[in-house]
Amino acid sequence: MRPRHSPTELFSTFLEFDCDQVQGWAVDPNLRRSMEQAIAQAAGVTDGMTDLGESYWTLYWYKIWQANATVPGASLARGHLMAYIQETCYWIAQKTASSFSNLHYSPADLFQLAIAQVDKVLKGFDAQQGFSFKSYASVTLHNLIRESLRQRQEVDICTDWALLRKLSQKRLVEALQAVGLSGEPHYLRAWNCFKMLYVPQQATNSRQLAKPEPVVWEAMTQMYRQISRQQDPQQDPQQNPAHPTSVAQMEQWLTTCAKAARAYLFPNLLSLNSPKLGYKSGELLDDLCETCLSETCQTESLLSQLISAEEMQERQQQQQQLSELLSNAIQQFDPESQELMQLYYQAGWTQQQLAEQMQLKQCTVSRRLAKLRESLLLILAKWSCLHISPSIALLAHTSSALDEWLQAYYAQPNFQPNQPYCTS
Amino acid sequence: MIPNAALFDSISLLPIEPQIQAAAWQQSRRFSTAAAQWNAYLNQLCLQTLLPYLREDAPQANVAPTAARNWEFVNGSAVVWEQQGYQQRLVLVPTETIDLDEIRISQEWVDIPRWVADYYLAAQVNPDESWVRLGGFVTHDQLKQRASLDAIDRTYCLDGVDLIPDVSLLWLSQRLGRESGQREVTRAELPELPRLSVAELDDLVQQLNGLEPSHLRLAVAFERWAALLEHDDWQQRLSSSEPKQL
Repeated sequence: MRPRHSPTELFSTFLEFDCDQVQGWAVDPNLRRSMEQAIAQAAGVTDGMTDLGESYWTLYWYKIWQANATVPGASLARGHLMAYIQETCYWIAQKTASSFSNLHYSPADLFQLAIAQVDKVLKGFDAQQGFSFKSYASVTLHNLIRESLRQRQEVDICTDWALLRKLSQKRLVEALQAVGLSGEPHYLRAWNCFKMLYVPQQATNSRQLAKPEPVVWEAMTQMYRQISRQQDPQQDPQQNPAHPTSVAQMEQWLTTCAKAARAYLFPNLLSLNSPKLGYKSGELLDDLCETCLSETCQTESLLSQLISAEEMQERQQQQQQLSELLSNAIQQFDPESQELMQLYYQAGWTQQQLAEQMQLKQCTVSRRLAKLRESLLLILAKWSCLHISPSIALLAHTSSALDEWLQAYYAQPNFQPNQPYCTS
Repeated sequence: MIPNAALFDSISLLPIEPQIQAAAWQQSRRFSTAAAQWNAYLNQLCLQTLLPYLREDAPQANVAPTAARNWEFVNGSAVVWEQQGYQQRLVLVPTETIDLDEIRISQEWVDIPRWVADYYLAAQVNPDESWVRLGGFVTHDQLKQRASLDAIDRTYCLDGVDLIPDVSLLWLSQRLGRESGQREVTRAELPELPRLSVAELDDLVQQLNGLEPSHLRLAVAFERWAALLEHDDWQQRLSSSEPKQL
C-alpha cells in the first residue's frame, strides 16, 4: 500500500480493494474539491505562513462534524475523516486477521467491519482531552472489531431459542425494524412471555437451549393473552387476527424474531460500505449538492478562526507536558512491570500468552496490567484537575485519553523505552 | 474455532470458580419458579465472582442483607461499604445478553429511597464458559438523567453507550474524593414515597398473597408496591415471596 502524504490526499482518497487485494487509492472528487477550498481559505487567513499539517486538519474536520452533526456539511466532514482513517482501519483488519489463524473473514471483510463502526469513533472522541484522533480510532476500532467478532461467534453457537434469551430488547427491536416489523407489538410481547417463562434447566448449557416443551408453549400463550387483555383491553381477541389464538401463532412469531436477530447480527459484510461503490463517482456523498458545499464553506470560515495558531500551540505544549509526565512514570515502574506493559501494548501479546510466559494465572496478569494502568490514570487525573476532585464524567474522558496515549507511545516505530515521547 | 475468551483479551473478564458455580446452581433450586431459579443462579454467579474483585478496592464491601431474597422477583443485588462516614451502595446488574446495547434496571433499584444506590454496575454473565465480564457502570444521578423508564416492565433502559466502560474509574473517583475531602454527588433526589397505614398494608398484602412472586412487582401501582418494600417487615407479610429453605 502506497502511503499518502499531502493533506488533500489524506482527506479525500479511499482504499480500493479487488478480491481482498488492495488496488490503490481512489479519489472522491467532492472531497478533493472541498479539501482544496479549505486549504486555499486557510492560506488566506494565515498568509501562507504556516504549512498546516495532518493534526490541524483532523481537528478542523472533527470540529465541523461536531458543530453541525445534523446538517449536510457534517456528512462532508465525516467523509473527510472517513478518508483519513482508511489506513488505521486497514492495519487493524490486518492485525486482527493475522492474530486469529482460523477466522472466517478476510482482511477486506474486516476492513469493512471497521469502516462500519467509524461513527462510534466520531461520537466517542473528545477533542478537548484527546491526544490524537488516529490513536483514539485505532484503540476503539480494535476493541469494536473484536467485540463484534465475539458476538458473531456466540450467535453461531447458539440455537434459536438460546439466541432469543441472549439478545437485549434494543437489539431485537432494531432487528425487527430491519426486516420491516417494527410497528407490530405482538412480536415483542411474545418474546417477553418467552423470556419470562422459558429458562435453561442446566447450569452450563445455556447456548444449546432446546425448543420449549408443549406445556411451556401453552403457558406462554396463556400469558400472552392475559398481557394483551391488560395492555390493550379495547381489543377483542376474537375480532383481531393479530392476537394469538394458538400456540402455532406464538411459535411463528418467535421463530420470526430469531430469524430477524440472526440476519441482523450477520449482515452481508460486502453490503455494509463497499468502497468500490460510490467513492469514485461521489455516490457516497450524493446528498451533497453545490449549495450544501457553499453553506459548509461559510461555517468553515468561522471555524478557521476557531482553531487559532495559539490553540494549536497550546494543545501541543499541553500534550507534550503530559507525555513527559506519563513516560517518566512508566520509566519508574520496576523492570518486570515495564516488560509486562511492553509485551502487552507493544508486542500485542494476549494475557493468556503473558500468563504462560510468566507462569502466573491469567487473572493475576490481568490485575497487574489493570493496576499499572490505574496508576497512570491517577497521575493523569491529578495533573488535569490540580485542586478540584474531578467528576466521574471527566475521568471517563481521561481514561480514554490514556488508552490513546498508550497506544501511540508503544506504537512508535523506533520505540526506545528511555526516550520521553510526545504524540504530536 | 477461536476460544471466545481470546477474542476479548480484556482486563474486565473474571473467571467463575467451579465450586462457586456448583454451589450457586444448588442454592438457586430453592427459588419458587423456573424463572426465579435462573435469575437467582445468574445473580449468585455475578455476586460471588465480583465480590472478591470489589473487595480489592473496598475491603469492607459486603452483600446487603436482603440481596438473595429479592431474586424471587427482581434482578440485581446490592453491595455496601463505608467511605468518609457515608454508606456507599452499588447494585450489580447481571445480564445474560451477548450484546450490551442497552442495560435494563428494575425501577425498584432506582426509585425506592431504601433501595437506591450510588453506582450501578452492569456485568455480562456467561455460565457456559464460566466468566463474568464487567460491562461498565453509571451513577444514580446519570441513570436518572439518561435512562428512560419502560412502563410495561417497570425497568429503566440505559443505552449501552451511556455506561462508563472503565470500572477502575469508580475507585479512582472514590480515592480522589478521600484525598480532597470532597464527595461527588452520585444520587439524584427522589420524591418521598407515600406511607401506607397498617390497614392499607394489610389490604395490599391480602391482594398480593397467593400471586406468583415474579408477578408481584407488576400487580399493583408502583407507588403502592414501593411503599410495601419500604416497610420493614414486608417479607413476613407476603408468604409467597420467601424462597424455601433447602
